[in-house]
Amino acid sequence: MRLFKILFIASLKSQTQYAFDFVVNVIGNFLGVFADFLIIAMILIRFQNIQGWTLIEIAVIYSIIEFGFGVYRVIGDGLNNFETLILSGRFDTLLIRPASVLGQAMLQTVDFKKIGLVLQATLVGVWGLSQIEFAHSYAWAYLPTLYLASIVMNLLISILLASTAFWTGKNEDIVILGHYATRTAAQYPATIYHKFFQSVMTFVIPFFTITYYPLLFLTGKSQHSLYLLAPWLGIAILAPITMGVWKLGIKRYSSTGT
Amino acid sequence: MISGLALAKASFARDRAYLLNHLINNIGSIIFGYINVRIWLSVLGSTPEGYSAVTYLMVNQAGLWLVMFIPRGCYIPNKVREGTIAFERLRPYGLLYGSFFEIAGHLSYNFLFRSIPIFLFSILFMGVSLPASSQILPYLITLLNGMIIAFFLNYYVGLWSIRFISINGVQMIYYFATALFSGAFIHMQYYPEAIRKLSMALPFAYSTYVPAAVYQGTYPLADALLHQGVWILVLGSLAVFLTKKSLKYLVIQGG
Repeated sequence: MRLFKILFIASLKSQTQYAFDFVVNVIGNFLGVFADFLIIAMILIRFQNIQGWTLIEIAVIYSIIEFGFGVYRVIGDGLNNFETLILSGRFDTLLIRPASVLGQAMLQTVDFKKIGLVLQATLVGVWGLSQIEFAHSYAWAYLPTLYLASIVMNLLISILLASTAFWTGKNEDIVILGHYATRTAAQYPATIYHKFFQSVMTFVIPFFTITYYPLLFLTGKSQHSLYLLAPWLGIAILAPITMGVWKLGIKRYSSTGT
Repeated sequence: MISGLALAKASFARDRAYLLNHLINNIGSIIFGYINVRIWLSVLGSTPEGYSAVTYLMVNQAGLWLVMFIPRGCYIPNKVREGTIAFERLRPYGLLYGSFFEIAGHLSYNFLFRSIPIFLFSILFMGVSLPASSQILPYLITLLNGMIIAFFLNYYVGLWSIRFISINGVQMIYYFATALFSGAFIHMQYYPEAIRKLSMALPFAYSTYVPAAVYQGTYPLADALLHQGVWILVLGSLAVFLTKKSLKYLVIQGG
């Protein structure tokens, strides 16, 4: 925790040294991803709903998945560029320090410039939640756990995909395919996709467990209250698999540096 | 001109070394396309209008590697950060000329190994319609013009790095503008009126929407050539002007 605090403060100081660049980056990150929501909004303003899901409901789904992704990019950007650690051989230095390897890999830098991603997800979420009508009053007490689950799920998936670099070296395309594409897919209701793709998004990269299934129950589209357990069931299954693959990867690792 | 072609050839050969990675990346691109296709088929249904939207989207998806995902700042930010832009200044051609041909080589590679595979997959498995034979050449010409427009827009991002070093923020602003105003993910006919008018007054739509609309025969070729020509002239002149201005701020990094 002390290490995290030191890295946190050092990152904040270094990134705010150049105030103009910092502000442009925050605005850029905000707008770059916010365009995705504006496109969804334009489609739904024109067509009213996608298979019974309104713009307001999709705004809430969007904010859940994007909030978790945004927080992950702030605190876990090191995992996003993990291949550079492996390809350069700099991963060696992480192995010899008396601290968690995963923690070090994740917290190489805390990227405050990515706060724009969190802000735009929050803005969309506040708008969506101020309009939405849930079928169950306890939904409001449950919602914070969904946003928390989204952070955990995004982190787990990023660790799982980062681990592939132990075998493949360069893995940027795997990350784009496994995280970016699936996260975009999770912004929409599962039923618009074919069964096979729904299964992948439920059991392999289980983003639907934090978006579609719980919202299906909370909005009254399904009576299966067990869907509320989906996020934590998804995490409970994914976490040991992810950590297993990560540890296997470290055993497999052989340095590429000098 | 000979040195320009040599630059393009070298750029093509450099990309060729990462062919396998790019082919994997094509799968990701197809999945993004699949997501968009499913959204549009959900709202429009499996109707002629629905499949017309699918064709429009996937033609754009195949073209993204030519008109949107151009190397960040046309390679200029890397050269600025590493200090190798000093060598660029010693060469017997300007920064704009060198960047143009370097990107030309990259886009030739992307056309062959990214756009064509995605397009063929779309034809075979996603219900995308082939263009009328009379639209093939007009499409390719307007696509080429679109690539030139996109080059200039990305070149400006590169010039930003000469003045401010970091381009991450401005690059994301570019993505925002191009995603929203180019019509890459929604056909212009579905835009709210005000945003459609704004988009048609900006250059982004002429790199993406216009070629795809020409492909579908819904945008007259003469209009497309006229509008794209004006934008190429305006953006090209601005690029020449900004290059001269920016190079005054050039600081060689490293040592």
